[in-house]
Amino acid sequence: MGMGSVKDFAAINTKIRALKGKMLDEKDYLKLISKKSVPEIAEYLKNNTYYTDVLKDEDIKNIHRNRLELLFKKHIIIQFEKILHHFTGEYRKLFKILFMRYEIEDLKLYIRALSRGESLEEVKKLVLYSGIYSSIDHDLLITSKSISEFVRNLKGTIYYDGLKGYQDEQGSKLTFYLEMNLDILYFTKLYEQAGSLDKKNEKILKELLGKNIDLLNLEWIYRGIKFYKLSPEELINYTLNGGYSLSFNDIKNLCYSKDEKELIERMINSQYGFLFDNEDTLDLFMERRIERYLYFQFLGYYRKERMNITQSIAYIHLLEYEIRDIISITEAIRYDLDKSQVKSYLVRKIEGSDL
Amino acid sequence: MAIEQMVVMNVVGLKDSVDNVAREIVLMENVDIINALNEINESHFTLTIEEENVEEIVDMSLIKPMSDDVSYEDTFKKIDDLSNVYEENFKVNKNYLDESFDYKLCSDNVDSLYDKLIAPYEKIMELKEEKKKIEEFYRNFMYIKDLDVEVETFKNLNYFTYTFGILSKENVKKLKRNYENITAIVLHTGTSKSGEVYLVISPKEMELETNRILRSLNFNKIEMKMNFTGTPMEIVKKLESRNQEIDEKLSELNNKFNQLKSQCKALVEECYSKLALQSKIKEVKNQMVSSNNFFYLSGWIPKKNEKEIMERLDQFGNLIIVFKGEEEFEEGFSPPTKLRNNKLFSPFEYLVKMYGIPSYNEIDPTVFLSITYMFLFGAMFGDVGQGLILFIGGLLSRTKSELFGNILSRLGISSMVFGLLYGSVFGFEHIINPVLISPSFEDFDSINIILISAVVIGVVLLLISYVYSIINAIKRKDLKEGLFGRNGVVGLVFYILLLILVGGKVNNAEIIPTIVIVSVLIVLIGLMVVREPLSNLILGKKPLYHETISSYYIESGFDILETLLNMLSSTVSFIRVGAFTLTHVGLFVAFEIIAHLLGSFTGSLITYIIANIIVIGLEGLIVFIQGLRLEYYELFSKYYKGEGVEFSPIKLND
Repeated sequence: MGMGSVKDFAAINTKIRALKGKMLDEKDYLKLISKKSVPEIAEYLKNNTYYTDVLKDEDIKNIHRNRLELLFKKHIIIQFEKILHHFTGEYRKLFKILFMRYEIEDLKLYIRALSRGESLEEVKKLVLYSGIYSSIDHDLLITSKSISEFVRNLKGTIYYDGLKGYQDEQGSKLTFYLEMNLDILYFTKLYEQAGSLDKKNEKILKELLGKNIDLLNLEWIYRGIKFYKLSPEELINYTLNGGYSLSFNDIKNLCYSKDEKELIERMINSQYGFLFDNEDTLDLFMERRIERYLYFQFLGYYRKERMNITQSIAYIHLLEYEIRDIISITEAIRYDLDKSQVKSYLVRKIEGSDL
Repeated sequence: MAIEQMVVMNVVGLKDSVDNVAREIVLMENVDIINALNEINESHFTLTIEEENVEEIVDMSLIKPMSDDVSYEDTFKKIDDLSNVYEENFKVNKNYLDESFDYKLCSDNVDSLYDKLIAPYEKIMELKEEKKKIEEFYRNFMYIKDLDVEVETFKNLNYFTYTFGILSKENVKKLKRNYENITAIVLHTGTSKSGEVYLVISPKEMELETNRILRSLNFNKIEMKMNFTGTPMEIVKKLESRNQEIDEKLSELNNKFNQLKSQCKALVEECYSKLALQSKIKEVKNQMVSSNNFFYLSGWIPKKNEKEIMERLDQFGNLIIVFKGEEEFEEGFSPPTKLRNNKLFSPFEYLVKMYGIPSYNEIDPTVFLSITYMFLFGAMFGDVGQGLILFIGGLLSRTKSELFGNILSRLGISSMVFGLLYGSVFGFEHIINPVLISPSFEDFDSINIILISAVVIGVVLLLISYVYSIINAIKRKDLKEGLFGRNGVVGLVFYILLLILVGGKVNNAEIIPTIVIVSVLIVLIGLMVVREPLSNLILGKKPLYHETISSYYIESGFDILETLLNMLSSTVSFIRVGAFTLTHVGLFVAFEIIAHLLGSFTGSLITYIIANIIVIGLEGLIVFIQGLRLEYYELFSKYYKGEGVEFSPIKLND
């Protein structure tokens, strides 16, 4: 199948348009935010949105937050597999790498649980990626009692090589290293695979990835300097290549900032200044700011681009953000946040959320 | 040609003869053991009440499962290890089984064999292990072979640490771009499969920083065994010579060891055979029960072997042996199925079993399947030359897979027969004259004839299937499906009438007036719809419906729709036979055109050879599968259930 022409993407993009059309709109989010309990949210989703199918066999009167979260994650994977169906060759490989993300998210869940000293049995209930494209053995992993045992249990998977060197690290620094290395693996693979696509799709995907990489590098450098005191030399090596507007020399200079203040000063007037412009909420919302930026990027690409790979990739991410927001709303109920606070935790920008 | 008749054999005997009886049963390899405890509990285990049996019958109330405390596990474990030593799975040799069994002697023998063989074996393994390690060191030192420094120098460094490792291209680039800030000296020493090999030297005080930097580059450390002395090149030489030494030693040891192995082989096999028999005896005994004085055994045997088995068991004297034939089987008690077919058809049993083994009271479909499958395959793939290749291929592959070889050679013969009828030899249609018809594209009439004949053949096969289905229903005493069902008498009449109707319309000839046919068809549909209440009414069974009336009729209505579609699709499905007959020729015609275009003799020859390989390999496979599809989907689904259990007698080698 010679990808790259109108013909090849026509079918999948029609399907994506149909799927995208069903996604929740701002009105839905406002309604959801006004709900008082998880069952109320589930009920709204079941009766008023296309999540009817996801919830149809559930006892929503008594549904628990974790259960809801798992159902939605499952939903993402099912949608993903449907899309995967349409691709062959290099494009299929690309989507399989995109799929790795969910596996990596699960690994991170395990790692965080272990760093808090929790048992993995409980976490496993939230983990569902154990499908046909997976190479990891969840049953073995959940027997791990410590992070170093966990890493050893990953032997034989593609994750092992990147993680094996960190077994003597301690505490939150260890988590930082491991998560960073998992992300490095994902983005490196994705970037490599982008190179196997035809020129037009390669360009557009690398542009998209490049912006993501810039933001991730900035986050790492900021945290590496502020919280973990990594040496500049180390930091440079961890940063990803392929950034969109930050060259290697930019990154290098940033890594050699003497503290985070200097870093902020250098970046505040750049296009990524939004990450740093509110000192009070900088640490709390950094991740969300990245996601919101990417959300608008994906939305833009989705609207602008036709007949290439971007629509599928954008849809997958938009779906993920949608579900992340629904989950955030359910979490807000647990922590009893008021409406405007909830809004600031959402990926999307909703009237009244300006943090 | 059929399914072997089965009988249940119940044996009661004195406990002291239990081992001999069990042993004989294993050696017969013709008894499918049933758990005697279940049999007695469900009162299937019957003895005639005669005076001489009284004691045995009375004792039956005191039964418990037969227990055998002897465990052969340890000895078996050693035999398993020996099987690793010999690198083969031992087979039972019956020649060793005549003498009586003495466990002590056998286990002593195994122990001494084990002691004799395991030490040299482990020595060899150890050397192989060392060889592996040396190969690894060798590889590692080869990365730095150009380094003209003695390795002791590294060990003796006081203010510096060193490490070797591999970096990926990507990470080398990163390192280079920040060289000015690195706390170490990095030297390129060689190339490996996964990247470039570097020697990194840094001040001891900077070790931690350096290690962190290296880690951030995913630096893959190579362990260098530093017990060696000299330059890497010298070490490489040393390793080479050690490797050679090991090779020599290994070949010497292997020679001796192989001699030892062949010396011991007979005894090992003897011990294995005896133990295997013993463990099978144990298996039989586990299914038996015993009382104070007697043992009770139960098993299926083929009826025709009744006498022979009786005679063989009689030598142990004082046994009560009772056979229970078909007439005494209670309902729901289904015997295992053993197929018996002659040499021509028996390989096709495999294809039947792939779908399912027939029930005991079902007709064995092997013969029908064999004949029709060979016929369909030949018809679709008729070629004297290619058939011959399949035939020879089948004969040759019998050594690898007897079953497959046998099936293939039979299909080859069928293909050759049809080749004669079609006049095809290796794809060429003009070398010999067709006896029947030439499936070439030069004549449109013959294309029509072939396609129509295919459907006609399909109709005939389907009609035969109906007959099979009706007979099976009679054997099952199933009035509902046999008489009124869609594959029963009503269904058959319906199908025939439908054919007459359609045939009449196509040929514009009314054999029976349409109005008559249509009204009969409607009546038949009615009968099929009400088949359950109707048959229950006839048999006087209550309730008439086994589900609610409305859901029965909804289901039944859809059933009719499906029946009609199924009749149509099954019949039309056989067109593929004709289509593949034509494809077979068509595919070759395409190659013929290529050969003509090439012009040269060698070019054409090569094209024809390739053409034949492709046709035999690819089309042969497709036709093989399509034939099977017709058998399974169109024919088996009509008349065959295949829900039986296979007769599996206890055997020595399995």
